[in-house]
Amino acid sequence: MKAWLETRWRLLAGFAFAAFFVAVNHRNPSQKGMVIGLGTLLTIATMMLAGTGVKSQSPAGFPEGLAGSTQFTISLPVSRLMLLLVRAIVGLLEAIALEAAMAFFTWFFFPSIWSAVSPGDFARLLLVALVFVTPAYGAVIFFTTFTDEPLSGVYAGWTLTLLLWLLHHVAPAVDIVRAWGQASPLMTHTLPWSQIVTAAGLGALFFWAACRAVERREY
Amino acid sequence: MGDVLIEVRALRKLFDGFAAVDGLDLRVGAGSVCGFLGRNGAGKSTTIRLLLGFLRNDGGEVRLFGQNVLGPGGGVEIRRRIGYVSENKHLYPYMTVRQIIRFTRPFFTGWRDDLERRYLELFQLPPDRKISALSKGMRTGLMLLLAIAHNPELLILDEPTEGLDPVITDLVLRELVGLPASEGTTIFFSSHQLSEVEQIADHIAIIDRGHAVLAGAVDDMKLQYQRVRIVFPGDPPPITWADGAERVRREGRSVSILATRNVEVIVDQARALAGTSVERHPVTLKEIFLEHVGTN
Repeated sequence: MKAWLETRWRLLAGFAFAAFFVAVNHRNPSQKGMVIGLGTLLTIATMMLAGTGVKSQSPAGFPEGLAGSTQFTISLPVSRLMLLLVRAIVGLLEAIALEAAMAFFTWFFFPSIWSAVSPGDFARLLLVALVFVTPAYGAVIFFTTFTDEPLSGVYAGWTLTLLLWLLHHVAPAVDIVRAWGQASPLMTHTLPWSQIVTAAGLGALFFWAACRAVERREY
Repeated sequence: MGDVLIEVRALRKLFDGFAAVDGLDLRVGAGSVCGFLGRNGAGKSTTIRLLLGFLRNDGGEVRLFGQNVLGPGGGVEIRRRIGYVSENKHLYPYMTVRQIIRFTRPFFTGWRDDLERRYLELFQLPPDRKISALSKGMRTGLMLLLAIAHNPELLILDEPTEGLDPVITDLVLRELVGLPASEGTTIFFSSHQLSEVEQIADHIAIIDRGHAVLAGAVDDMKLQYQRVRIVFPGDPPPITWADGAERVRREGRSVSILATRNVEVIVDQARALAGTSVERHPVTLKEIFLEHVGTN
């Protein structure tokens, strides 16, 4: 209930942005632009949905009480790990719902992509998109265990940028960004497994770190 | 003291090398109202955060209901038996009163509708008002509702009346003082409002610079601590008073002594002097407090 109340407006905003994006691109659709645009939108929206947690307790617009209610939250008879898990699962389900809406809008309003993209490739793209946002999601979940918004989002953004830059320059074979372009399922008609494993691994690593942090941190 | 609900032994907590709590010993018995006194920065809030497991101790031991607070699985079960009101009184500002009650209630098995209704009425809490729109007094009332409605065995309050107006303060104190009798609740509350502590506490513990300097029943302390006023027929002679004679003050022909122990010995010593009249007066909690921490 708490997680839903904290993120419901963000989720609605995500739906609205997705609809707006589709409407803006409707007249002049570009497959590459659509993929990159929707990917970016999904990443940002997912980070927003992950943005409230154990330390940060308040959605944007309520400066009073920011983070101050942490003591009330952790005084409840529930483990901190459970608090984090519930929060993370609700946000992830919301991200899946958002992606499903984006997929629906895109497929429904752009009949031109039916001839260019097979349903199989489209489904693969959706799976890739969901896996690829997990590092961003995990990073925000991790940083919200000890910082408040908007700093948690800023730290997560920096960390993610650094990681993506490193992957791009040091390990191009597992470059996640590349999987939006050359290695995209729309181009290769296969799943980019090395990038999927990398993204899932990074997401899991951030989530593991968040679990460790929330259990060990002092509040 | 009956069953001991809070037992703290040689507790130590460091922040960047500074000992905020330094060898604290504390025992709070079931059914008591224990005031936890100290100056600002004495270590009261840190101790409470250690009791609740928000912080990890760097030494010593914290046991609530006989269980180690930081032991495996101990925290959740212990918190189920506790009501807590934090110093800042912050709740989720985007929830309404009704929503936060609905959110909190499922965490506890013994939620009492009658207590919920009672506190909604007592603090005039509008169920559909957002918490961000509540006054500080109402927010305190709501926190008390959330802390008490599940009928906890132990209520831990960190500066419960801080920043409240006198009417709400009186309301809160009257409510708290009745809880041990009506619900069997043990209350442990921190404060530096000595008059409030004196009004409701039957036990006190005074903390200074991270360690307990005095603890016990208020009634015992009032017997042990007394002011002795001796009036001499002429100028008071120089006298070496018995142990326990503190703050000896000369005022013309009279001498005022704050006796922290051996009151009878000091009184007998005064009466043995020719021509003196001796009066004994009870002391206030403030005098006891100042005696222990005021001059440090």
